[in-house]
Amino acid sequence: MKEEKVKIIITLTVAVFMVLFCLVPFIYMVVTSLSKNPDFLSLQSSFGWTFGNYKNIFTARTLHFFEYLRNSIIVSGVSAVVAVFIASLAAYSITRLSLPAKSFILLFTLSMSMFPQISLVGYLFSLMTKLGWINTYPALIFPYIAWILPLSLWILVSYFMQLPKELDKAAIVDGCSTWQILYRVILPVAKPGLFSAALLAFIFAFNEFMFALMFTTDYTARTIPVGIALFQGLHGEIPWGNIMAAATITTIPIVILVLIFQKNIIQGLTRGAVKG
Amino acid sequence: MINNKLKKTYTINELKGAFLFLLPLILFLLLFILIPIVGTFITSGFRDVSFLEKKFIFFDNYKTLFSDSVFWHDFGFTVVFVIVSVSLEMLLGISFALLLNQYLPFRGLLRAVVLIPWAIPVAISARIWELIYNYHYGLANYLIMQLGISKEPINWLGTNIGAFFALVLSDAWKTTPFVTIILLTGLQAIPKEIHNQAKVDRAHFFQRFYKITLPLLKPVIVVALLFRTIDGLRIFDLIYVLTHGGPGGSTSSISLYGYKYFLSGDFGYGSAISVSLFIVAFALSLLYIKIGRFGKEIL
Amino acid sequence: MILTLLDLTKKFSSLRGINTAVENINLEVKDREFFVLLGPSGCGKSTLLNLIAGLEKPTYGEILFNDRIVASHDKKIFLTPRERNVAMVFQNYALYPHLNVYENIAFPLRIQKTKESRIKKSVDDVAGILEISDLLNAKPFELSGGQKQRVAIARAIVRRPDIFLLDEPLSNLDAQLRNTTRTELKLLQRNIGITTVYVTHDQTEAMTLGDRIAVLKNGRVEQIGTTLELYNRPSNVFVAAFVGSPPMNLIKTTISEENNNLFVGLGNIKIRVPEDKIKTLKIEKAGELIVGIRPEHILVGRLNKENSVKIKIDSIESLGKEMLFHFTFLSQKLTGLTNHLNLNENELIDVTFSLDKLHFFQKSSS
Repeated sequence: MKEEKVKIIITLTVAVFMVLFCLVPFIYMVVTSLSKNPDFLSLQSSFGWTFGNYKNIFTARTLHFFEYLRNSIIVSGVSAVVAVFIASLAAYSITRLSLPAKSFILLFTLSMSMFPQISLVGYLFSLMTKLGWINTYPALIFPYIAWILPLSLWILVSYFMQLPKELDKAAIVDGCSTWQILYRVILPVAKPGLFSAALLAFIFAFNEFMFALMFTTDYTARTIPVGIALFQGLHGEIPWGNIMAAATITTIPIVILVLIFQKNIIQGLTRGAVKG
Repeated sequence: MINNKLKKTYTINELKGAFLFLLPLILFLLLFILIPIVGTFITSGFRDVSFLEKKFIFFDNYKTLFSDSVFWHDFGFTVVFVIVSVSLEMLLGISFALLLNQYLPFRGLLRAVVLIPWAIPVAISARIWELIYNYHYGLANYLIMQLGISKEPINWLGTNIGAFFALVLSDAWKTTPFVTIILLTGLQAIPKEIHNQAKVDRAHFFQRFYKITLPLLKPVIVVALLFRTIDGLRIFDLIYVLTHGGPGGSTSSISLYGYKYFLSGDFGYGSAISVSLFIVAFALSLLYIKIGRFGKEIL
Repeated sequence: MILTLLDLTKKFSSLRGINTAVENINLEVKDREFFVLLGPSGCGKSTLLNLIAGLEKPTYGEILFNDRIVASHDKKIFLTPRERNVAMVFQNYALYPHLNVYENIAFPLRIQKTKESRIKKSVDDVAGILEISDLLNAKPFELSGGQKQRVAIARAIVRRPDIFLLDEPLSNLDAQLRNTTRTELKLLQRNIGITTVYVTHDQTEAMTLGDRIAVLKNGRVEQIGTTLELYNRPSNVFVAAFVGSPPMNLIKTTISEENNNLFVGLGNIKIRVPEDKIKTLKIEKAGELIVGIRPEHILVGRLNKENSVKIKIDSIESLGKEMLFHFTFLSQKLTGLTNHLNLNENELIDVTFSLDKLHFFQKSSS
């Protein structure tokens, strides 16, 4: 049939375009990181395999790549775990306990996730300065927790709502206190939801830029996005090979996580953004 | 009356318990989001500049702001940028979502591929794009020359128009995945029977798209559109890394303008700029919540 | 354990106003009795069960376990399910999906901080009783519906509750399994001898299981009694129609008076309303009366001149050893049950009403 043919051609075209659109910059990054010359596309240059860029970012102390990455993992990891824990307490309260104004609390939290960061950063900077936290982990962890709480809350609320209420009733009849219902029944049962929430919270925190830019001054607390953004060569020349190697090492684990857990991420994203 | 009395005596402990579970959330949101917002509003009424005495000046910062041509330029740039980039993202997002909604080989893998740009931190992807847009040896100019689209390389980051479209394209790359996923969920909620019925009625598949898919998808499109608009208005990291507002301040966003004042120690004026953005974003987010009909299941 | 409910009332307030789920319930469940709460969905039977369990707080009234008040509105007493020592089985079983069968059954004991050795013995014992010993390592998702149900019962009885509550535990099982499980459940309840309250909407289940049954409608008790009492002496139209399958035929009739006696007519058949019914139903001289007759009391054949009528069969339903026949009489649809298996549609036959098996109801009681 003619319609079928047209459809197949369009589908194929869009599919090829989509894959190229999404992957080309990513592949370009990986290729550049493995090239002796970042300008290999120009006529005067050539490719030349090398792992020198990778070796360099781990050995060149002045780049502090390892420290940035470590800071990012610690800050994002701690923030994600704490935020998901706090959000699970709140989600339990909202979905299971008698609480007035549940929907107001949820919507209010949701609206906070849309505040522009710039409208918090001035006050938080003064606060962190007063507390003496500038360039320390807490300066990032505390705002990050608050920043990723709305998303975590929404994911968990929609997950908890799917768990049958009889589970709670059974637990109550079996003698559980409110706290025991949460940690002996709801949390273990909701493990997949907690995992999705934690994964998304981690990625959000890992991506964060403005707070990290404002509240850190050097490698003791600076995270990898800011680190890579501010990578400068010693002599004014941008060290593209090193930057791309650092970017590759940073993004490959995230990309692998995304490939493995795409279902959890998609669920989490849609729960956090479209439906309750 | 009896009923009310009963409720009070019986449920006060329950309320306490429920509130206790909510307390950590409230504390964090209060201390690190709500109070900072209020603080920013208050600071915007002060002359709060480093090395100068703090002084309450009512709305002077806002008076300055209203006659600040740089602010209005950045405001205008942000709005135009959001309109153009969000339109492009919606267009790409709908195409990708329609594609992924079909029975395809490797559909799961394709869906994961779409997510990759979303997962890469903006600041890092901005550096990748910075290299792509390199005048001498970047991928963009290489492709343009090879495909014969233009004989001359384009000065992406060195011209106003080039920098604008460089930002739009990079932003679309980063955020189209999100739009795609949201729209895909919307598409999957459309019952298959409706399409089959339309096929039986001999509707052409373009007709089916315009007459069935698009109207049914409209609520989800509106939600995605609003969400992206709010998100786009606060754009900072991409611009900070890729153009730093340049060339000559032509691609500076409101967030970047505010940031520059905070950086230079002028917290009063920086706060006023931030408040202006906050008000716009907050108004839109109220609209978003209303249209998205969130929490319907909980009410 | 004797369970007593006094004036028990539960109201839910919502945005749409106050909704009364159960109202002024007074009943007593005897020690070791298998007591069934029967009613259509929304009659408040599950709410009543939740009130007994301690999952809901009464708006008014008292609940007593023996002489101990476990919930009282006036005295401001409310014991939690744990303090009441009740156990409950839910319609969807509510097994903990993350725990295996052993841990599911052991769960209430672990919450009570029972010693590990005692937990093992108790779990092994109940698993033996319910014949699920070989399933102890399985996770709930690996079990069939019947197995899940056994695990749920095992979890409920493992800590020897004072009262055993079951909320439609059989309705998620297929028909055949339901029958066998029903028999086993009855036997189990006899053996463990725990006072049991069982909620169902299925009258067959109620009639086969219950020592006594309370029929509920709109949050009120319509009648309490044994299966036979409900079947033979339903106190109102609702119970008459709800208990028994196929349901009782209910025929609207008009009362006429003759020589100081009250009569109702079934076509040409004139029936004298018994004296005791006139008193209990407070029948006025004129008006309508509903006459009930069970399908098995409509006999095929002209057994008696006065009580017989000729009817045309509208349709038939064969049940194998018996047959249902539907016919129209006095422009009302009636059903008869017979073991004459050679009836045909549109056939003209004589039927005889067993007049001594008639039921009389006030119209207003529906």
